[in-house]
Amino acid sequence: MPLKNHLKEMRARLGVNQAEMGKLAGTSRQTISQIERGDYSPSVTLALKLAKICNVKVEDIFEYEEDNNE
Amino acid sequence: MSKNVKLLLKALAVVLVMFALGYVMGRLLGKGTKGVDLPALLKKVDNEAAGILLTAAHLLLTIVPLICASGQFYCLNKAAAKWDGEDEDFIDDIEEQLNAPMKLVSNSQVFNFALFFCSAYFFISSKAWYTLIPTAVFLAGAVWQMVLTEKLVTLEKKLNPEKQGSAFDPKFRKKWIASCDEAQKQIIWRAGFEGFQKGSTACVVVMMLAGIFQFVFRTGILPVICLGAVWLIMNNAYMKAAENLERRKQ
Repeated sequence: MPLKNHLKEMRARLGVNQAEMGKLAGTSRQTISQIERGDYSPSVTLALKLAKICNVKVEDIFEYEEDNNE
Repeated sequence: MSKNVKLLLKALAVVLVMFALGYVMGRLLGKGTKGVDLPALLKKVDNEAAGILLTAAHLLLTIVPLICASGQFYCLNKAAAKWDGEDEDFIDDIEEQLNAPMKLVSNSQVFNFALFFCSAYFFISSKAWYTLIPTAVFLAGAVWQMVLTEKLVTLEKKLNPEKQGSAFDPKFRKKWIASCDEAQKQIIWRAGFEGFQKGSTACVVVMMLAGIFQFVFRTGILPVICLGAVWLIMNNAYMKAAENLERRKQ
């Protein structure tokens, strides 16, 4: 998946666990876990929400990496 | 040559090749099974023995998976109770493992129905009161499945408090999906689509087999009609849902 993320680091900086982060973003713990593992690319709305909670820009959490295989 | 003529020729070629393949397959099967009279063969089957054999299969494929699923549920429930709310890898692992008992329960449901009807069919034609055995297995299996499904749902809700619904509620699926967020919904839609694709392929293959068996073994038209009904419902339900989603009715 070409979308890398630093959500885990950001969450650690905030000092919240996945369930609390999910609550803040209005989503589930499972989704936060899937995003952190790189198994799910969030919608624009959710990505913006997460960035707002972490008080950073979306690009600081999510990084698009060119996939050489494509 | 116009585009339409090319298209027509292409379609004609595909249909003719498929038809020829089906014809060859049918001829070969017909030759290989020449003189085989399935209804006559079925009459020779010892109904009592067949019923007992199918009841054993019923027990093996319905009750045994439920015992395994119950054991798995017990272990996972115990492990989940130990969760401190912090170790996220631990709870992800438990959630992943929860899929195994869910698969066992859902497959045992299919076997429960199918094998109940099959074993009852043979017992009815031999010793009718023996039908009580597959009936008892069927009822026990159905109750067990319901209880275990509810227990699995309760555990899932304990791990994810935002989830809602009870397996006993007729609107369970609707409530459950409504309580899922975007990532969970995407999993459900993708899994549903893959299921639909596999189901459609299975319908084509089984329809061809049912058609050939109808001529070769004289299995009658009921299998073809039933399969046709399932195929029709699947296709129309899919297209109706797609149409509603396009218009954002949901």
